[in-house]
Amino acid sequence: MSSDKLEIAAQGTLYAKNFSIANNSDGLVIETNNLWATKQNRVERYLLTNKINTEFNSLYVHQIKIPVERVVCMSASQVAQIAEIDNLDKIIAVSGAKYIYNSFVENKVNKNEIVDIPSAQNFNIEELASLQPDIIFMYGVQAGDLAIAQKIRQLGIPVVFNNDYLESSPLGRAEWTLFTASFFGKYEKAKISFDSIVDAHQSIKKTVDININNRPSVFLNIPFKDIWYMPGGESYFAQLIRDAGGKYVFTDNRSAKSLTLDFEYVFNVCNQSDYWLNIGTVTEFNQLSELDERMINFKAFQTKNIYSPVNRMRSSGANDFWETGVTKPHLLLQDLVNIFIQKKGEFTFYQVLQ
Amino acid sequence: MISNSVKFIILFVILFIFGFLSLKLGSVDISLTQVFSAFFSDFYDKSVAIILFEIRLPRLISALFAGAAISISGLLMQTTFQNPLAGPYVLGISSGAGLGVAFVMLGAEFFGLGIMSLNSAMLPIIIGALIGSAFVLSIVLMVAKKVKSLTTLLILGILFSGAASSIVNILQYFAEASNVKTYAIWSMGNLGGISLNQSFMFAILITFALIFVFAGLRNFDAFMLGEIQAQSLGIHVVRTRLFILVLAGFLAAIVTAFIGPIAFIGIAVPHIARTFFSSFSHRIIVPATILIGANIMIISDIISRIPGSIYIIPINSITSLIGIPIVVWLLISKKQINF
Repeated sequence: MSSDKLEIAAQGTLYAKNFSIANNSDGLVIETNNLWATKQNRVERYLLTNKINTEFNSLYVHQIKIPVERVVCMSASQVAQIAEIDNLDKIIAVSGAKYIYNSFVENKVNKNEIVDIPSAQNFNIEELASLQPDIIFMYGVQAGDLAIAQKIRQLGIPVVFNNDYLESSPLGRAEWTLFTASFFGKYEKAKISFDSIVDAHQSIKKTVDININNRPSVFLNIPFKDIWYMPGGESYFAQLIRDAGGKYVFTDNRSAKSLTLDFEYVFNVCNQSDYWLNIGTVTEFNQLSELDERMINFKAFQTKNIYSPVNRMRSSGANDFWETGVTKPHLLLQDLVNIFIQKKGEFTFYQVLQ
Repeated sequence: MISNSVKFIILFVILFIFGFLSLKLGSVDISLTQVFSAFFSDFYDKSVAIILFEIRLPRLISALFAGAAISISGLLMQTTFQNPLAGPYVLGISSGAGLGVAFVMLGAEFFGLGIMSLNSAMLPIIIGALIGSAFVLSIVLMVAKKVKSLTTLLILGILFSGAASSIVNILQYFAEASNVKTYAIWSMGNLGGISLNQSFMFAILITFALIFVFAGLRNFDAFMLGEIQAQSLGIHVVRTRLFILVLAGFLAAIVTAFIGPIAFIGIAVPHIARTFFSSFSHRIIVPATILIGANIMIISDIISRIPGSIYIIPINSITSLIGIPIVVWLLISKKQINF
């Protein structure tokens, strides 16, 4: 096997744009697109193999022995992906344990059977090494994260970057379960599960066939003082709203990133919108008006059409919206359809403001 | 040679013009007719009225009083310490307020308190800032009673700031990224988060403090002559110093609590006032500082909103970009800064 030239038999993902999986005679080759890294370090390649080839030595391809048995997760969505393939017992440490909703992990953390570790920027390398993990699932947000990974790799601990949050399509993000499952040797199991999620998602989408002009208008989030962060028109949530039969107020915007907008502008554009979603941890109307009394001027406030994904949220802030909501986006889509179209009060993640 | 009266009239006219422009300009295009209709007619566009009365007017009131207050706070510090570089930050009072806010926004992570949902609410932030600044101010006052050297007091102020920053760093280190971001936004200053009622409360508190400033004008002038001369004029130096520190601290604390830290206005404006009026008399400089501070803050706010754009720039960046060149210009044109 030559070090950097890996023959690829088949590859591709259906919806995800930031990773690919391919078969190779030596194993499975996974490529991730680290958009947060510098241009020359953007692509990382992992060779997943049952048997480590000691002669294999490459700076560009990280050889990882699978199936992994002891894993460290740095994000809640990774825990949900592992839950999809029933391998939660392989988790030995998580970052920010109090923000993990999964009850299996919560119990294990309470019994000290899963270690709660700090975020990547605050890693205690000695503690990490003492855990002897087979792999660490990280996520990157800045170029410096690669340097942290390199430091850990020098200890002989494989690090892989799970960039699911970079996907702007709900199914694309859910497809990252295949990425995670591959390291456990469970690609096929995950694929069956993912295909059924895609079918469910598409069939819910088909029930919504509304002319754009007849769709209810929707806007998101709450401001801090006069800054209002609003997802772009090509973002993950904008797509969910579109699929659920809503009209996102900023749908004409061509960005998948968050927009930093002036409160006054948002008020002018959204004050007559029908629905207002994702207002953080606020659960009551009077809490919202206490937070900022200007909120009462929005039509959605007056018509009581404000919803937030707090139905499966603990007081610690742990929220299944960031876990099952990521791996099973069809449940999220169904919630939104129930809000916009079917006017049902039954939700998995959402709750109407009281 | 323009008389002081004319200069004051000029400042009032500028204040009126930019005050009006502050109401007229913003992300949303509002015509002159719409502005007048909202104020004087029964037939007006409801959303325009909300933008004017609940977004732009509180903002204008906040800018006006914050600019005046933070500038006067700087002037009082410069008078007390007879130091041209003194400002509201110098005694660690702004840093103390920042520390109090950091406990509210970031403390939940560190102490495991259930105040997460409060981290963006106005009232806890105000209370946090006031407690933080009052804490630092009370330490400063205790030290000021015992330490006679002004330089020692200045150094202690810098040390307080350093200690406050270190604690904030620890809190940030353990905090959730989203809370760190909220704190970062707060630390950039923000005039747009205040409701009309809160802006009135803010204005009343500042006015209350300014009344005391005007009541102490004679003492401030005597203080400028030096402590020995002030004492010979029958002024109780220690009591007057404490009085000035409390006033300066209170003004800085209130502004930081409602608006966030505001950079450079406190240092730059008193120098502009002295240069423009060529006077060191507090009877002239205090009202001049109030007017110039208010004007610069309102102009900075208009710029920060980038009229016609849907985006805003943090107010602190604008005040720094305006304040620093002014101080540099003063340094170059006058060779030295007087106080």
